[in-house]
Amino acid sequence: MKMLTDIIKNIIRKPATEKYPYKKEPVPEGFRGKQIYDKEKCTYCGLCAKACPVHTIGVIRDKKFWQLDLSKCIFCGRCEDVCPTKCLKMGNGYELASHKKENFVIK
Amino acid sequence: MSREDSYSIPLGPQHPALIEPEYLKVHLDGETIVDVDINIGFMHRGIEKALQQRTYMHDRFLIEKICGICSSIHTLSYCGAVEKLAEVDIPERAKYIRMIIAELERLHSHLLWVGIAGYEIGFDTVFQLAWRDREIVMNILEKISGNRVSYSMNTIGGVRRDISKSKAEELHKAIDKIDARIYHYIDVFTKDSTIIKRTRGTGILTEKDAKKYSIVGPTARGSGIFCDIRKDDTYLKYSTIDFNEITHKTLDIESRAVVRLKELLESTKIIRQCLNMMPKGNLSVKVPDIIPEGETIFHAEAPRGEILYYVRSDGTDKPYRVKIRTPTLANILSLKPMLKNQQLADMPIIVASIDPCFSCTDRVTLLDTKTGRTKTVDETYLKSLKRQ
Repeated sequence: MKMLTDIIKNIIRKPATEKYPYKKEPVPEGFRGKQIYDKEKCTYCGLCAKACPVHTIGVIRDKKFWQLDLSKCIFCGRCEDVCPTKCLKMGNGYELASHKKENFVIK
Repeated sequence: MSREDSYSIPLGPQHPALIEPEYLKVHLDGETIVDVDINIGFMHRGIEKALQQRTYMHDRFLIEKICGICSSIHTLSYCGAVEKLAEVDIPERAKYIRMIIAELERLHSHLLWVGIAGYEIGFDTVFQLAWRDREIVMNILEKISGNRVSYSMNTIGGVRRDISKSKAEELHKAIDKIDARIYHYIDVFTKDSTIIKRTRGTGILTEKDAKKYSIVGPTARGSGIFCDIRKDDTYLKYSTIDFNEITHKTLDIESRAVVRLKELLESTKIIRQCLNMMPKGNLSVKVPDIIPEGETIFHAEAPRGEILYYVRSDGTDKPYRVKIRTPTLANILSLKPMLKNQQLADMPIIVASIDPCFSCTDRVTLLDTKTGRTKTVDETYLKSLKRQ
């Protein structure tokens, strides 16, 4: 019967869950979400591509080409750690579902 | 009744009572379990082979994905082993942060188990409330590390993120909240009549059996055996911290539940001490990509028991061999003595009482004995294999 007190308290307690699609909880500071890429600052050094454990970043230095495939990304934040110019940052975006493949690519 | 006369039913590989795919063949006399055959190997994912094909740093992120619950202790052990090989001493502050994350992980893993135990005995209120309280830990972990499940805090040579003063304060508050709830759950698991009727006296694992099958972690401590890697072969800074090793001697499921819950109070004690003792300083040191030749082991106390990493380097940037032994592989054998002479209806809670994690366990493929005949492998047979 020890749980009974807890059960009675629950009648007046407000729900522990959020009504998710209507009310969104803000993500904490330092959250590892969808990357923010600053093309201006990038030097195309390729360190992020080398460090990425799932090889989702492609860099061609001569053509000034940089691309990240979010569908493969595991959001470990390793690219952010190694970036010398800090042009790549882990952002706050987490609702990444999409019907179009283009939406998974950051350029 | 002998095993041959009994009625046998297969449980698994896919079964609602088991959360992950494992195959248990249960021999029954009426409703009573006579014997059980344990077959593992349905979740073989080839992780160890994959580890050999990646560099040490890339491996670190793959290792985190082995288990969703104990992702920190896996990386802690792996990084510890690689640092041992590279002969690198990590900064003091990093050691304390590693310990805090490992203990937070124990908190959420055991609270998850409390929920599962409630669910398996059909007491869903315990399940819902325990998981609600677990969210306190998950939220604080997300605030510290940036992710709820893959914390990615440990890296080869230290840790990746700091615990700032404001976060430490939040952590203190969260732990105080959790502490109050743990006292409540200890009360529930030792006094609530519904839970006692299902847990007291079921799934007995005697001290003799536990030693015979080399059981580890809270399952062994529930049988009154002192075995905690944090005390026996201390790592990081556990030797400087004051905490008790919890054992309980009633040998049943209640015993294992009490051990796990009381351990949580020790975990919160460790976190508080770590936060107070943490010195200022660097978070990590640079470790070269190429690790010198050699082999080493590192073992640590995961929430479920002892976890062991064997790493062998051949002097390149990729490991020659990484062998992982997780606690469930050691503990799964204890199901045999535990299930004998028990009711079939008690099986789900007895299986859950060792806190199994099958996706952790399966890294060996076992030979299937289709004929049903058992084969004893002796020394001469093993030697003949070696000759071939």
